[in-house]
Amino acid sequence: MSVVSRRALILPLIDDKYILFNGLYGALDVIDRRTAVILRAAQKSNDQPLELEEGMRDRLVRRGYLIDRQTEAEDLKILSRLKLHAVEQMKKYREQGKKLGDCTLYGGEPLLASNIGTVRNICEHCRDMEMKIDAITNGYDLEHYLDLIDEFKFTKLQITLDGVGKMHDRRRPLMGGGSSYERIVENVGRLLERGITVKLRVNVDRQNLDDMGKLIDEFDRRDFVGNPNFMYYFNTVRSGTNPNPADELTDVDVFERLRELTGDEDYSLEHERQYSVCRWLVGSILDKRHYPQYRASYCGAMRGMIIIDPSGDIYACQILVGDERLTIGKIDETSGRFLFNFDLVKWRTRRVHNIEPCRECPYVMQCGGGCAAPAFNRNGTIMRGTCNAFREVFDHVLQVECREAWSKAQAVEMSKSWREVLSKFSDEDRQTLLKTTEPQRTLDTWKKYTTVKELMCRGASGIGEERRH
Amino acid sequence: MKLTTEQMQKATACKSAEELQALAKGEGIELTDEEAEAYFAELNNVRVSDDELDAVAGGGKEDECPKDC
Repeated sequence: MSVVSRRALILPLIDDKYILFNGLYGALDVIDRRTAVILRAAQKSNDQPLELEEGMRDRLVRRGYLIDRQTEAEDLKILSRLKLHAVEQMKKYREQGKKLGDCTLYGGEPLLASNIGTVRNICEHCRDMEMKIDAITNGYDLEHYLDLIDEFKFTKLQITLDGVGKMHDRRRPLMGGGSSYERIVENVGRLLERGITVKLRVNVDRQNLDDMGKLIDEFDRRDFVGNPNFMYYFNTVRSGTNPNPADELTDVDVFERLRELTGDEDYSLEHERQYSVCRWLVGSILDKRHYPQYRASYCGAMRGMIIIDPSGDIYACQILVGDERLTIGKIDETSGRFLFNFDLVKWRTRRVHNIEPCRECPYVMQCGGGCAAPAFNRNGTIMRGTCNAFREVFDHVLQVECREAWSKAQAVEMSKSWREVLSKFSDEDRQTLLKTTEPQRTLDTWKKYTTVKELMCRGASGIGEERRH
Repeated sequence: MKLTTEQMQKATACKSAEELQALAKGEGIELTDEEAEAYFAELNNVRVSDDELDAVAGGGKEDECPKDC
């Protein structure tokens, strides 16, 4: 029996219009108040009759808002496995066969002056294997690396500043004491002068919340802003990983403070990390040239990333490096090969259809289950979701972007819906997709009903590429 | 599900996900079909072949999050 999906979000749009969104299918619609009231009542109790106009009822069925629960549960699995089996495989292997994609130097601190010989060695091997290189660094010793970074064409450097001057120095002290701020900022300037991309991250909690404005002024004063190779964003110190939980803030807190400081909603949406990611997702949903983008998993730890520590132990997650319970393998020193234990599979199959508490959540295809690190720290298992303030963030971004879209074109169907293609599948092909674990078979089955381009959620202009401001 | 070096070497030598599952079962470990396929794919760069892939752009914000989480 078709009922109103529990995943359907109903949010105010403008005047007497409401947003209707089903995150499982990426279906995004505009409805009137009367329909919104009926659907909300039906979500609470499916004994309520649905007194909808026939045209509206047909539209809600076609787009996945009225659906039977079993079909919806199966569709979650099918769409989640589409990413696991086909889309990510295609992205990884379409060009490179057995080659690895890229290498990130990470620590501790990878770019210490004393490491330069080792770093050069690693870079030479990467170059031989045609791997792109980037680094996550504190930026302190970068003046020793400028020529090397140029030589090996690092694609970007991610550097952290946690405030201006003493605020930064207090939060990220040198081992022997002393200031690092000025030296790091000068190195950022040197990188930008050479045309090297710098991605600057600011970790925000209660201690440095009010320093965000000072940092923005500094970036302006030093002419970093406006440089096409300079990007920056503000990120909360993730709940469950902060050594001082009392200082934790939510993404909402950071966004609201940023908006207060700048008076600029658009700027704040673009520079608060979680809001920026949601904006990208909603942008993809609103682009009707292709099916909506969604997240069946949270990050690269689920999609093939490996991290090798100095002792040769292998991890999936960069936050949890060093916790021996979470190794997924090691380097066999005799053969030089990666050897993996079966904990690898828990990471790679941490998908929304396998995280039981998350399966019915309206936001699961947008949050991807959240970060595994705090899930593990809180629950002792990665097979739990982490919400933080995702719902509030997504709701806000959805409303802002939909109002903008509505002001330009009053299209009641604001997106395509995966339900529309899923409804065409034969029973036999549905069963194939529910049961097969073979990527080729998954892809061949989907291709009976749609194209590869549609599956990759890309429009003709390559929508989904990062925006720069 | 930690393994000894010898066990990991045997797992690496498996020729199919089914063989891997059987090996795991012999060691007292139950792997689902999906888990076995995920492990096998990781080791063997299972490739999907499709000419249409060449026409599709890559990259995007979703892909960048491992560095920025």
